[in-house]
Amino acid sequence: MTNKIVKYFFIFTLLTVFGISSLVALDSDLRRYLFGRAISAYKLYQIIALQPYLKKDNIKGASLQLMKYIQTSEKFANGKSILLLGIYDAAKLIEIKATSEEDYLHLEKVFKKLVEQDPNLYEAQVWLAKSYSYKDTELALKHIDKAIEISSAQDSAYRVAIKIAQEKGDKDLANFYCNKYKNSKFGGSIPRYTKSFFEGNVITKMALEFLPEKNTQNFYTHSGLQLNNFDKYEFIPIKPLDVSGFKIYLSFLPGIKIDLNEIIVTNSENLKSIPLNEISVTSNSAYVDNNYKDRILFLIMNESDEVLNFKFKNKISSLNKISLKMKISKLDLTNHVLCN
Amino acid sequence: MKKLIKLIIFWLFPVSFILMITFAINIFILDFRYSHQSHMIYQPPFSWSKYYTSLYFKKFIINTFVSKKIGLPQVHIYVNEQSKEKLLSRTPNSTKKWVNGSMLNSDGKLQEIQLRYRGDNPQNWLLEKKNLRLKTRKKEMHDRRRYYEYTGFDLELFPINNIAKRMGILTNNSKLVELYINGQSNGVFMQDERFDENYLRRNKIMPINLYKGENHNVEKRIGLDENLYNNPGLWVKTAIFNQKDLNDKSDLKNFLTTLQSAEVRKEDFYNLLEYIDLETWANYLSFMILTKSYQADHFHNVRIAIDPWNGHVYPILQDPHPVKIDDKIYTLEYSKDDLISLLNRNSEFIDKKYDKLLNYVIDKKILFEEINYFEKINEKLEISLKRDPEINAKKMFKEIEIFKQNLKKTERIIKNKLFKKPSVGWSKNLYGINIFVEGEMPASTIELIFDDEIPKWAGFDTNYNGLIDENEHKFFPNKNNSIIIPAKLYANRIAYSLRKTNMFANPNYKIEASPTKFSIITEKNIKPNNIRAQNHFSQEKFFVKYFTNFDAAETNKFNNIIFEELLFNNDKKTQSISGQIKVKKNLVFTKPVEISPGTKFLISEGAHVIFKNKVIANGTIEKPIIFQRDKKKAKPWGSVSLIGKKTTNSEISNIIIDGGSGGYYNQVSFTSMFSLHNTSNIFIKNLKLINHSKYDDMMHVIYCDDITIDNAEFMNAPGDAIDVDISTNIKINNSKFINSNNDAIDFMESEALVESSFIYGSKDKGLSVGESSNILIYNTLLEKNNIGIAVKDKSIAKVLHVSFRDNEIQLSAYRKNWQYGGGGSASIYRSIISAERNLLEVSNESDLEINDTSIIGLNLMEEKNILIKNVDFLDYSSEQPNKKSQVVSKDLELTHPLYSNLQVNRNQNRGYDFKN
Repeated sequence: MTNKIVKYFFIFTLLTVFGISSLVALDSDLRRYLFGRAISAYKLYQIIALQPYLKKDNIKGASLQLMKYIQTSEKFANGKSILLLGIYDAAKLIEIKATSEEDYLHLEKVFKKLVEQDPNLYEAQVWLAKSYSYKDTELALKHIDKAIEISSAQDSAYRVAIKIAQEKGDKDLANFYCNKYKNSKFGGSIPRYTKSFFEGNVITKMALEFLPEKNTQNFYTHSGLQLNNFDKYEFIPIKPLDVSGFKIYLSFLPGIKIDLNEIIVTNSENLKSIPLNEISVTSNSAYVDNNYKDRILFLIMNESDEVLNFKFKNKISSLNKISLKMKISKLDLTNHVLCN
Repeated sequence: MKKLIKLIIFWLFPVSFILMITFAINIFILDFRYSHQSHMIYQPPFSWSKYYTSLYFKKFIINTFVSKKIGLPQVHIYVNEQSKEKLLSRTPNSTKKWVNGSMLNSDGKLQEIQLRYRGDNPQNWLLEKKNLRLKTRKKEMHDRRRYYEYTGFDLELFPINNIAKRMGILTNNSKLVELYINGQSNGVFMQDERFDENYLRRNKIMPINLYKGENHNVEKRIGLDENLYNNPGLWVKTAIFNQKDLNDKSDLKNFLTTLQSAEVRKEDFYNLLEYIDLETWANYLSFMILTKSYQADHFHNVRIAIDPWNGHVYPILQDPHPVKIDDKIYTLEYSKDDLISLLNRNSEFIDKKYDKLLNYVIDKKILFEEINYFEKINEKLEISLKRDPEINAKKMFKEIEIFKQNLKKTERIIKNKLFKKPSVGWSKNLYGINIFVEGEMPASTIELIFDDEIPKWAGFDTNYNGLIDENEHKFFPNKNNSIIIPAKLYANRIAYSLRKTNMFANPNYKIEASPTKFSIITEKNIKPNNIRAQNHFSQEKFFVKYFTNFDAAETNKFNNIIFEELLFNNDKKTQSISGQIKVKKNLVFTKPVEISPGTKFLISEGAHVIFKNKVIANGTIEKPIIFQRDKKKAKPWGSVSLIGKKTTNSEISNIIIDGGSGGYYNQVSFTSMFSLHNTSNIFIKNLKLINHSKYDDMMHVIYCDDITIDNAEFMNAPGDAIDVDISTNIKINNSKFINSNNDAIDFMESEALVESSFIYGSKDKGLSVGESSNILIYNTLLEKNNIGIAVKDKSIAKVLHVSFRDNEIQLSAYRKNWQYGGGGSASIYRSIISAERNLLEVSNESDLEINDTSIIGLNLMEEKNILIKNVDFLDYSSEQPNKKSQVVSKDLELTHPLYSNLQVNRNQNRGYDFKN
């Protein structure tokens, strides 16, 4: 009896294996589904596996776990594997928790591996620079420069450089990076799980929408924002409109100041400058500096989509052009003791 | 019976089980590599079982039934199984490691090559037809090509590439071939070029920075905004400008900076136009419209070359594919990246683009040519396609027919668009009238028709201030009581998005024409009774509709009224210059200039004097025109240069250029103190260059045609005296080159005549004829140079009536730059070669012919590759002073015998003729 049960069980198992493998081999959709889910599950598992270490601030343990993850990905593919994005997410989680020299020294090998796998991974270059900053500042600066080459507008690389300058008491070095940062506008980040107004967070693009909103709205785009100068940004609607205000759409990097000192509207009759005290402003998450009466000053602190709302006191009829005279600049990363 | 069945099942099942498991494992591995291995590669589900079943069946049919007739040109490659396995051993990186193989060359011999797979997408190398990259040895190139790329035939890609080639766009010189691997036909492939330095040279472009913009698939950067035009860090160099550091991307950064500021500042928009040759880019965009080939966008498929010699950015077509675009949103200004979207808002650019479209659709019928091409190759293609393991020939031919129909349809659609009646209206205003233009087509040749009173003039009020200012032109009535304004009015192009997310991505992003008003003011505010306009492309005239009440926006900063060049060519106003001109910073002339005799330019350190338009600078012998340092002991200034096509027909005579060097002006590089860049038909006479420093050349001629340099003097050049690059019809006559520290004259990819000149004391070469140049040297003396003439790298030098005297090496022919795949070829005819030791070096890849010539002195030449006919060998000591060949004074006046006077007698009328 027992033998029969074993025999039938064995046959059943073989048949099941045969059936499943045939099905998966022949059905491409099912195969895609299974493989995709398996890899996603593995990636999720790796994140979850880090949790116990991170909750206990055990960066050493977390870095070893991450190292295993990287080694597995190297078996997956010779080159940049599908797991690289997952490794990046995991590394980011750990790096947020790292605070001390010891933490960064534990993580150095991991960051080095990441940079080897993908030398164009901006954040990995910055993290590695942070690790090196504790023992070899020249090497750290080399990686900082590499990061800046990859994306010059983002602030994290400069922060590491200025910290190094602070440790060394090197004001020239600090000034060099401060000035570089203030004048750099190329590059930007991209949100991980969504898309921003302009795909990524950049300081060169904006869009304008005329109010009142209608069913089919048009967002008038501009991709030439300049730093540190007052420039006139013009927007012309497709057809002349009666407007009560407008909205500005931005997806800036954090730490940006927008200084708006003139709004000129043109219609069929004339061209006029709208007094700033006849405009009310609100925003999603920007701050307004009210110390200046002759301008409207916004401070953008978040690296996310932002909408600035402008409402006129009086409606403008048949508007066919609006010009915004404004200056965009970056807030300082340090005080005047280090940077002039 | 039951037992038998049971037995069969009993034995069949394990076999089937094992086979199935093996099959399943292979499928899993394949599919894993195909879709789940590489970073950022996403593929739709692929049925491997179906694929392999049909593949093996097709192969069986091909091997059994299909004929072995020759169809397309065949390429035979041999690679062993081990190497093939190595390429797929550890994907994806293993696909990029070179393995050894061999190829059958045109002589029927097997040539060693190396090959690998190409492309990041596993589709390129996991299927039966794999995309290959081959490289030959440096010494065994064909047609100056070392790299060959083979991509499976793609109906969308190949003909579009052909169309681009016909339109003169920089692209692959793609060719259809049938690829055989290890004797087995692998089907129809496209044989392509690789975009590298060699590609640039083959296309007559200097070795410059070539940038690849790919932020896609494996090359996608994690965590970064993907817009290439917003980040030079996303680009990679595939060819390098060797005067800058490998990692230097300053040229790209400057270009992108200018691009961004061009959107907001009008003056920077004109700076951007210095990078953009309107002809080239209008051509490129008209190609995109004709083929709907919008494969290049803001994040991938972009290749550009930035040329520091003419300051231009060239687009290079990569992977052209037509894109399906909804007709409802498609316009002629459809744009997928920041650069094109900006250009598509400029009226001058749009006008040029439409002109090109008209030319290609109506005159050249460029799409029709492609249809004809397919008809020509139909038979051969059919033969080869039948042997293709992946392509169904019948289906492909049906698709080709559809493709041809689509081309015809596109031609019709474009023609209809261009010939469409423009949407134009007019109304009256306080100061005159407004003309409104809507839609893509411009209104041109505006005719104001008056019945009773006729104003004395009418003009466009371009700044809408209610007045005709000085810079605004007036137009006058004709005999028919009308005023015709020869202008083209384009509606503003506005950039906007239909959605809040991903605003700059298609299909959300649009460039659309918006109603635009143009203001016309007439004398005494006399209004016309009627207005007529014309479609510039169809030439059809129509009356413009009157509106009592209509409003539209004024022209934006990118929209200028386009006046007919002949009437309103600002360039006609010539500026006159005389006296002493202090040049403290760059002095740039954008309008025609006439410089009086005796004018002196006193130039400060590093400053340039740049002519971007025609210059007539004729000094006299008594009053030459001088360019010199502002103070005697001052540091060197930069360069005097003529840049661009507008400088054509310039004249320069009796000029002294003293104390310059070189440098940069915006994106343009100068390596000499007198530079001619990208110009033609220039006549230079009585030119003296002295005290050059810092940079390589005293004079640099690049991308030029038809340049005459007559009676020029180059003394003590610290490097080369003249460097001539990628230029044709260059004539250097009656000129002296004394003691150049490097070469006297250096030619690269050029065609020239050097005549009646004296080249003395060059520390390297008197004449360097290199890199596929073709030079005739006539009636010239080459004396005491290190090398008299060097001929290299597939260049040809024809030497007639030349004296080689006491050069360390009289002539040398050899291979230097592997990119040209060969040595030099020289012919010496009716000349004199004299020295104590006459060294003539000819390498294995070169050749030399000496005909009807005297060689005086010890003969040190290996006679391999040297053909000697009718040559006298004389002892050096027996050389008699010959009035004809002796240099008698420092101040040399050169004349040359007329060819018709030449005698056939030996040693007569050879060499040069000097007079005291």
